[in-house]
Amino acid sequence: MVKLTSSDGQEFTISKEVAYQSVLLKNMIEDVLDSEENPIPLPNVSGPILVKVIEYATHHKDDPVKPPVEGPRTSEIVDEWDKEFMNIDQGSLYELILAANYLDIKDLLDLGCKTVANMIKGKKVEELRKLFNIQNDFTPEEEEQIKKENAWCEEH
Amino acid sequence: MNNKKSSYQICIIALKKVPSSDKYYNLFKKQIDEYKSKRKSENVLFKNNTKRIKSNGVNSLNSTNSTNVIIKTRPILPYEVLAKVYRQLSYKDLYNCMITCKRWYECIINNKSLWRDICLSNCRHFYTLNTIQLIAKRSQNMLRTLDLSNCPEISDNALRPLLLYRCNGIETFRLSFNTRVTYNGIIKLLKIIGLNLTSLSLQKTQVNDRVIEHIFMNCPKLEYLDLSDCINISSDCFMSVYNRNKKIYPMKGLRFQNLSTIINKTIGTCTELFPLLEILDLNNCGNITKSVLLAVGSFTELKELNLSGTSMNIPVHISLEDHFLYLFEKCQKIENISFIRFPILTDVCIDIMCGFCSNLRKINISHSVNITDRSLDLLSNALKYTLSSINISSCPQITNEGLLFVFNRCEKLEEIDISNNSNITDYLFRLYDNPKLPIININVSNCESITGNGIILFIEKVLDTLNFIRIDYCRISNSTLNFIYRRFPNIKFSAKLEKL
Repeated sequence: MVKLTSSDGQEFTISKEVAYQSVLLKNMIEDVLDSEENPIPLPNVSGPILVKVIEYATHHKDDPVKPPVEGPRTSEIVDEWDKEFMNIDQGSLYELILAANYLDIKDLLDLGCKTVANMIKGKKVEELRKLFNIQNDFTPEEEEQIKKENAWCEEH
Repeated sequence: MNNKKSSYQICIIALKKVPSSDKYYNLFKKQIDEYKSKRKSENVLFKNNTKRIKSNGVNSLNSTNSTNVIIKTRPILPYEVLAKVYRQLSYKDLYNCMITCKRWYECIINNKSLWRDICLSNCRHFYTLNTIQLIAKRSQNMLRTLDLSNCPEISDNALRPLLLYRCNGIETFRLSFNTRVTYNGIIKLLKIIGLNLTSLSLQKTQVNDRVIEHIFMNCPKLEYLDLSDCINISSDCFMSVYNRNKKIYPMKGLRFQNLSTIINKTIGTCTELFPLLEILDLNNCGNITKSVLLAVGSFTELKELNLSGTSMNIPVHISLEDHFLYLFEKCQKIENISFIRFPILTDVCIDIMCGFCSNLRKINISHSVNITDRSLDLLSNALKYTLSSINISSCPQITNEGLLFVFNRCEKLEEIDISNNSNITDYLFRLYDNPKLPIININVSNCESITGNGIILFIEKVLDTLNFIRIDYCRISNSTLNFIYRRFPNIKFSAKLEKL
């Protein structure tokens, strides 16, 4: 078993099998032999997010290793469980992605990125700014220039 | 030693390796304790921070490593994560992302790998010709596909950025239907971008014999070349390639559509240069005659052959059957064959073809006046498990009997064109009995004897797979048609009622 501490001080005990989904934890556990005694501190991950991460890693612990595919641009999420798992508010989604990035859990990171990509798809600029709470920091001239330069993208 | 996590880990490892009697043992232990207490206080600090942030109703998880927490209204995804998100998007979506804010814009235009496969074909609005400049600058050596077909305004100058940014990673390049780029422009371009090119489409361009020589000098990996409608090439266009060094090129596909300059001798040279050819397209090469079949027989790897619109009736004293026997005995791997408007094509020819080529999947023998039901009997028998597409439109001798063989036997048939055959009636649809027929696409236009009842009967039989049906100018009334539309809402139709 492995002990983890989240940024808000909560302690979690998980099996090595689950922990090994994370490349970061795997390296740490292999380097630090007494991880069962000393909890591994995860200053970048809050308790509620760590709960989600552990839920994901536990569900997928028996998955076969997928070969990397250099496929076409597709963001379709096939797995129904994954779809339901990602049904969370945007703040948590971002935190989950950052956690996956930090802990180096490739599949969770991919899933998070696909979810964000699906949120972007088909949206107009104004909708994107509103959805992601982004301020337009272009001058009207700059915006016009970018539109002109990339007009061809609109058709493809 | 600072109080970073990594040093903490080093200390822990050190503690394992160093015996407790060692003089450094206690030092390490002390370091670890110090770190732990520091962490505790940091955590307390962070807790307070998150509490404060949460009470504002905003999430934050940024830079919690440092004690100076910068409170942002929302966490920001780092560049590498954003790049992963953008990789899933189409250019249309990327366009909207680029305009959203400066950070997103920077992330998108500075990521070479997002600009790998560019298609500007049929592009209507060209922001002067800087578009290519911008693309070349963004993708540089990561550019893999560049489709500039149907962009008639592109000139030699517009292509220069590809040279300046050395886009030599391009694998697929298309410039078809561009008469503005000069042959010198193409030669200059190939000298830089030819290195990794595998597919080159130059249909209807200024390509001449000199360009062809340079293509084979500069593109060692080239496998597919489209020279259709390049009227400036001569029948000896491959001679200089052949004479320069008598070596073999790894070409797999050649297209020469609509070229009257291509003659049997040209194909003869090709057999010396490209023995591994898999695709040969001679559609509408009017000066190709029956004798070419002997040369084509050298391409033993051939998978796709298009001889539609060639002059197979010349010379008259040689029988097509004899040449087919020679050809198909050698080219048994053919999967896709097209002989449109082959008046001399007979049932015996089909018999020979089916006898040798057991991998045939696509056959187009439309406008063959001498083909009868016997051919369909032979085809459907020999290619029961392979045939996926057949076009037998405008074959006046074909009747329901022949098509029943096809419908009842073929288990892989997805596409069939039986248009312009007045002998075909509803009887076919009523009588065939093959629940496994996986038809996706069917064209029965201009079959004057087919009525709405037959169509309904047929659609119900293949409802599971059918996607598109063409029933232009069949004997269907307006009201029946509306009934069909309502009954099968998931199927696409083309149904013109009256001829113009």
